[in-house]
This record gives sequence, C-alpha cells and structure tokens, in this order.
Amino acid sequence: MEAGTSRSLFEKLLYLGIATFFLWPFIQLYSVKAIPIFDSDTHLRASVALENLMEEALCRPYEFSIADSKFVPIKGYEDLNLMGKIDISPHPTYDSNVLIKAQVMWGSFPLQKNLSLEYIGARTKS
Amino acid sequence: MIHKKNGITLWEILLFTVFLAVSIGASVFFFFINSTDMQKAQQKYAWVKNVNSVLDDVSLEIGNAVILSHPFNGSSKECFYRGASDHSTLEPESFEEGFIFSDDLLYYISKEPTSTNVTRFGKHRNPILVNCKDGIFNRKSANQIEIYFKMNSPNGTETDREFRRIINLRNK
Repeated sequence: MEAGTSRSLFEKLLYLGIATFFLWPFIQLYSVKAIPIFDSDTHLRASVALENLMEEALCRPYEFSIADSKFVPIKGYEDLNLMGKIDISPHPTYDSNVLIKAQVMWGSFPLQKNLSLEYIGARTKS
Repeated sequence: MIHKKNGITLWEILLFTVFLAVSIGASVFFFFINSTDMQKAQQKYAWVKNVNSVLDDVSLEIGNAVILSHPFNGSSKECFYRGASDHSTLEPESFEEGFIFSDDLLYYISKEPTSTNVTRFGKHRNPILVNCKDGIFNRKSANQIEIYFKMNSPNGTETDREFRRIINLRNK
C-alpha cells in the first residue's frame, strides 16, 4: 500500500474481526468467573444468594412447569444489581423427576456474569 | 533497495516506549498486589469464606434433620432438632442436638437426658462462630428456616456484614 492512503473499510473490519477472535475467549473466561481475583467478594455474595434461591425453590410446592421465567431483582442485593430466576421443568429422560434450576446474574453485557445451580427432585406433588 | 541506517529510527523509539510502558505497568501491578489494601482484602475474603463454610455445614445439618422441634414457629436464638444418623435409623427421642446464639457466639450442643454437652461439630470447634451479633433462627414456614446474624471482620475492614441462609427442611 502506498504511504498516505488510509485503510479501507474492509481492512478495518478485518482487523476488528481478528482482534475479536483473539479477545473473545478472555471475555468468556471472565464471564464464567474463571478469573476470580477481582470482585471475589461479589462472587461469594452471589453464590450465597444462589444457594438461598435454590433452597427457596425447593421449599415451595412444585408448580407444573415454569421454564423460561424472567430474571427478577433479589431483595438485599440491590447494590450489586443481582437478578435471579428459577426454572422448574420435567426431567428430559426420567418422567418421575423434575429439574430445578436456579440462576443469578449480575453486571451488564459483555462483562456479565452468571452462576447456576441444578437440582433433581422427585415428582411427588403436582 | 538498501537504506543506510543512521541514528535511532522512529519504530525503534515506538518499540522502546511500548516496552517501557509494559514494564512500568507490571511493576505498578506488583506493587498493588503487595500492598496492605490487597492483603486486607485477602484476609477479609478468607474470613467470609470461613464463615460461609461453617454456615454450609450448619445448613446441611439442619436441612437433613429428621425433626426440627424448636423454633416451631416465629424466631428464636436457639434451634433444636433430632439429627439424621447413618443407616436411616432414628436416634433415641431423648437425644437432641442444637445450635445456640449466646453472648455473640454460636454454639453447637447435644442434649442427653442427664446432661448437655458442648462437643465438637464436625471439623469445627466450639464455639463454632465468634463475634456474631443479633443472631436468630427464624422459622418462616413448616419446611423453611432462616439463619441470620451480623458480624464485624477481624481486621476491621467491614462492620455489620449480614449473613443470611435459607434452609429447606427436607424431611418435612
């Protein structure tokens, strides 16, 4: 390329693509909390909130199927903006069981983190 | 085409600046890692983790209890239950275990007809938690109990940190 001419749009997009290709795994590592040196206290609090959410889900009688429920803010964690949701669905392979999944999420895209916990319960009710 | 090199060129200056910036950044980072702030943060993290591991064990014990006799409803500083034993057998009715918040300490005790023992709780020595304020067991429903207390961190970095655990009583 001659000196003085700027890069074309295509080339800029190419560089952006290469940079994203290299950086995306690191962003993924961040979001699955594989690098817990920073915000470790936040992680601890979020994991406790997740356990509490799961225990609450186990306490209530099994509702038929609440899959794809919405994230709602968790009381007491307003400073983190922590959101949680509970999904209860029939087990995909065992008819007599239900799959209970609790999830918490905080932060905003692309530096968003979420933790989830799953539990298999017997379908004695409902 | 062959260029004669005379003096330091622009790209060499650029490269030198980049390396200098990286080395300064690295040394600042290592100073930050060694700082007292970081050490205090690590101590606090270790403390919170320790308290949470005790709470995990307490929650597991109460969650798997065969019968939770106290608090039957409302809230109390004490919690008594008949523990689950191996081989799915029941302990004698006269034998009860419990957790007690007393004088800002959390104790594990076991009650027998003739005596009340302050023994070890698993790997934790009694009192299993020290310096916990406003500790309470709150029976929220027939199959749900909540533990709540506040604590100050030992190195004074955090005051009145709240710990709250909700426990599903699995044998209800």
